[in-house]
Amino acid sequence: MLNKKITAIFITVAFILCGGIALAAESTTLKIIPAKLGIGTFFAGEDVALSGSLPSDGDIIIEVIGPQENAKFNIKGRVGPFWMNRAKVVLQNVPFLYVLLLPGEKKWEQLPPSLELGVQHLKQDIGIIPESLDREKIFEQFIQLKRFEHLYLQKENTIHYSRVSQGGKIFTATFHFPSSTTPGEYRFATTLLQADRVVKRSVHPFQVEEVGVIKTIHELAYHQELIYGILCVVIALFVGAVIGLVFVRAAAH
Amino acid sequence: MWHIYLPIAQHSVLLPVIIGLGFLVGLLSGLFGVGGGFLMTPLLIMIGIPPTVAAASDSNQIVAASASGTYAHYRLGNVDFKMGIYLLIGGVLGGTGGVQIIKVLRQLGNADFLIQITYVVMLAVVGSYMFMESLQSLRSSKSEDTTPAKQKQSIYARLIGSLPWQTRFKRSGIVLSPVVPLVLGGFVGILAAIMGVGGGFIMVPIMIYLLRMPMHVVVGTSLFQILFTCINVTIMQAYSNRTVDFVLALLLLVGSTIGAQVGAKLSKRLKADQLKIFLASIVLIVMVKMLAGLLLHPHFLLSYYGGD
Repeated sequence: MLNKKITAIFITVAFILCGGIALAAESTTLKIIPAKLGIGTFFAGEDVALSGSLPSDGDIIIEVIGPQENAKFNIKGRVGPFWMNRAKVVLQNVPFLYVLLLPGEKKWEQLPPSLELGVQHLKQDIGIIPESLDREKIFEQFIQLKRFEHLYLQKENTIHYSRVSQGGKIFTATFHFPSSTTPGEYRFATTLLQADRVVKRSVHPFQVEEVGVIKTIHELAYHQELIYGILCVVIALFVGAVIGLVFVRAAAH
Repeated sequence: MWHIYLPIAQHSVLLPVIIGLGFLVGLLSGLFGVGGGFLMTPLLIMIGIPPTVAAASDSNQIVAASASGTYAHYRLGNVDFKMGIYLLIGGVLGGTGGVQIIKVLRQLGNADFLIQITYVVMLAVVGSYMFMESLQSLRSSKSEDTTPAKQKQSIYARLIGSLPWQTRFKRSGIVLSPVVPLVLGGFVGILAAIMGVGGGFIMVPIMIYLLRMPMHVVVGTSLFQILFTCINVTIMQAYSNRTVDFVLALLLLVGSTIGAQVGAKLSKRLKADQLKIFLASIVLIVMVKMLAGLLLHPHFLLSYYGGD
């Protein structure tokens, strides 16, 4: 928690010193630290610091959008006394993760549809196959599942402003990439509002990639499948035998 | 520091949780001679591992646990290799046939439900029979328990006694036609392929009640057979589906190999009927959990494809 505050203060000071405020009156910028995220062996989720400038009478909303995927699901239904998988459905172009970061100075209970933001807005871009299925029902079930996994969220009071001179202000926010983050191209999409109307939108790509041993294992499993499978068996046999021997020797003493 | 990232599951997990799960299932493996797949896979899914990765990586860790367990039981003289090889041949042939059966079932639709209901029925029959029989055996006095056993085996014993090529299985202390373990191994192979598990929890009761093998030899021989089944499954899953997470398997097997050794030692201290009652209880608990899953309203109507 203390680390997050220190990072936010540091970014704010650095931004002012760099003269970022000169840009503030007319546009938004977004600075992302670190510039990309590496998933290594001990990855347990990681914070990313976001900051930028905007006009003093403006508001900023940030969407964190995960890599697009075609997600396949079973649909359960009741037959007699039993619940069983009755059909399959593919949801096309769904982001793996969707988090909406909102500033704290306003109440954001219901986002106006005109802003074209939030989970409900995703619906129009998502394809459902087969099309004969009840689109609304499937989408609601999908959102429920994603919310349960903490992958589709709306976080209020996560963007903080600090007022500076020349009609501009600085915003800072911290986004925590969860431990279930998958590699791929994420996007930070900023929406600048003035008088509750959208003034400007911009998208900032953000790369999340596997590094080190994790990357090596993943590449071996996907490009040398047979060798990988045999290696898995050989190492398992070796570990099993070594532990077996250790126990036999321990019992002998 | 306590977290580790799984490259194929693409999920970060807590180290003590995974090693602890491995130990628990390894303990069962060493105690009862079951691979533990029927228990481990649902537990891994519960902590967020994708179902296909959970099942495949579990097979990988069972290779280590069963290798360690087989070695421990071999040292104790509890592995009937001759019987194990016959069961293995039957299992491989049955498993190949089972894969074809599951293809036909999927084309006909509702295969998933059929698999689950087969699972529940098998678990209920095996678990209840083992539980009742062991309970009766524990209650009856030593002097009384020889007479009813002789009466019970009459028809079945005459049937298998009439089969050709009667062979002595020295380690198990029985005389039997190889046709019996081949056919029973094939039956377990078919069920295991349909259910997607190693089949240890079906094989063990079959060895006890149909092959009439002594309990301690049953455990070692079952582990020997499971070892080869899981080697085959691991390579096939890695090659065809890329679902074996080696890091996950390594963490599980660190816990499970230690658990298997502890289990093998514990099994020598427990009476055969006590072991059977424990196993029967676990089988019945899993059966009730699966039945509840079929009868109760699910929390979500959508589940990831490849899951339950």
